[in-house]
Amino acid sequence: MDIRIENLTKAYGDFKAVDNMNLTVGDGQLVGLLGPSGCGKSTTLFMLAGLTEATTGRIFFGDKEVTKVAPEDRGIGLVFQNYALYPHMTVEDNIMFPLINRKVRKDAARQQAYEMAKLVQIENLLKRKPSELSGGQQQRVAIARALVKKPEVLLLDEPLSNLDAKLRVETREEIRRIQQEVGITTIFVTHDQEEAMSISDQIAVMKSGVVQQFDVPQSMYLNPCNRFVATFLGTPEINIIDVEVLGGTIKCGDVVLRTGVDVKNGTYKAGIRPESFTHRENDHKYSVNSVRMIGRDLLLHLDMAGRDVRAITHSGQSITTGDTVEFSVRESSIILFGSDDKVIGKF
Amino acid sequence: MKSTKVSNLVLDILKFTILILGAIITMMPFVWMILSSLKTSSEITAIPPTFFPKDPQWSNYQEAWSRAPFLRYFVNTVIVAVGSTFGVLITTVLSAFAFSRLNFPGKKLIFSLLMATLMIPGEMLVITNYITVYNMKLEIGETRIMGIDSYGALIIPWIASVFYIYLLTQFFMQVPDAIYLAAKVDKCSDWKFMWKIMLPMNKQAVVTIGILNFISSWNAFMWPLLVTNDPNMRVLSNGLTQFQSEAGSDYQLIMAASCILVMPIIIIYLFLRKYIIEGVTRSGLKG
Repeated sequence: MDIRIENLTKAYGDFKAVDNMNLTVGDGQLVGLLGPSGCGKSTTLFMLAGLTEATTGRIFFGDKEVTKVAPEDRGIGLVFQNYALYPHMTVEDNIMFPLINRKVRKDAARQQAYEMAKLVQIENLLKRKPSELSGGQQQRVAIARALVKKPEVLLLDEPLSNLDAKLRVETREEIRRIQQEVGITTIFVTHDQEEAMSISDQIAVMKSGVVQQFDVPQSMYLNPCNRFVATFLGTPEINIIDVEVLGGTIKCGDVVLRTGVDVKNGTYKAGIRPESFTHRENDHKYSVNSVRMIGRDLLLHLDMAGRDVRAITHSGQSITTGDTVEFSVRESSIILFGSDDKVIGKF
Repeated sequence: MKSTKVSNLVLDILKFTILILGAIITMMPFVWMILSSLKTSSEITAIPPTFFPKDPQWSNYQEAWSRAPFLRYFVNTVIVAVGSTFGVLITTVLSAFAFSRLNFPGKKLIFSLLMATLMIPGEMLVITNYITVYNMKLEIGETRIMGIDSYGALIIPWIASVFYIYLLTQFFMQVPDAIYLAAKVDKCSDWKFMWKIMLPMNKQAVVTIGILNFISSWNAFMWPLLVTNDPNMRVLSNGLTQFQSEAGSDYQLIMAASCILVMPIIIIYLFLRKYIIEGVTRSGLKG
């Protein structure tokens, strides 16, 4: 089922948590709502769930408007950040609970709960209490409980934030697998850009209640629409430097970064991703301020006309602090931002 | 290494000495009550007092039992204690749920007013309650429901406790919002949420409140004495007054009757010890 959000606003007094949001999510898609804390992503999710009332705007599931529909009648499954399992019930009773409330017969409910448990691979834990499970297992129970009533939309609020780093990677793949297997339209909230990029079909990046960009992960990374999106995506963070354009030449201090560009003269902010630096003989010489090993790559801090910039190069090379390296910036990977922080172009 | 062992031992000895002292101080009145209940009337007032009775008078129990209709008192006490505890649990759970989960106009005001009543000393309420009960005579056929000498008078003033409401509200408020919202999405009504999730999640607190209320109702003395004239409507604790006369008190019989009185409570305690201890330690409350 596709989801359509039209001019959705949630205001608390003068403060707009979500400001005139428009978004269309296709059937069976996995969409990540990504943004820093307080950007309105969870508010959006709770409005989709019906637990928070929208101030203005409309929400459609398929052709049906659900803006005023009660949460239990929207056909949604909701997974909370801290899972919100009922601590006094066994895993089985937890998963059966939505069915029992919908007057499903007990043996049928038990059967469906078992099938769901099997899907999320916890069928051997059915008789345990939530307190006897690990965080990852509790997460699976919560997903099974959300899916057991066969909802049309699955909503996940920060599903991975309570898990440790290794489990997080595992569980996000698991969420993707389950979502694909069930084929359910899913929206999840996260503040972790890597998490969002790795499993989403599309990402909506939010800031101060406004969707900045809605796109597939790769094109959002390569073609951010503004400085916020460019900065928010990617680790290590993109370098933002002051540059000057004069007669088609982009210069940072005395470092010539690009020539022959068609941009009006003036000063700009430029974004260069650390991995855009590439070794080239006889190009500008940068002195290396520090070197850090981050696994497969080396993270270098270079001196660019007195400014510190991050560059990534593969770890096979022997570069130490104080060395000089000859680097150029790859084609069309200097992103110029206008005074309104919107992207002017890539050079 | 060795010195820490020694200091640990000293610490242990100190710790247990204090615990044993505490236990003796707490136990002493009980032990004294039991021992005194087996003494003769001359031995109990003897100076210097004896600790152990020279010749245990088991007949004291028989005499105490026969002096007053204790069986009747016992039945009355059970009816009153069970009735008021049942009432307290229902009113407490319902209002705690309302105060912790539901939103209605004037919620804060009503809660503050209830809390304010905690400031009123119980002795002051006794008089107004007595007048209310006295004026509220209600009979259905032969049975008196309300008014002097009725079970209603013994039970109804005690079926709501602001303190327990306050206590349980705090427990209910600790249940995370997410659980409530999850239940909402799972098509669980407020009513069902209260019984199926809120109550089981706070089972210990509810059981503790029930037990504490039962004990205080069992031990109530002044109120039952005030609102009953008919010996048939009296409760166990009132029976103790039977042994006081103008000629003096039969202390050994009072002690024997007291032993009879506390027996059921001790038995209940032994059975529900686990709940009481957990409930009391978790709520920071003492009985």
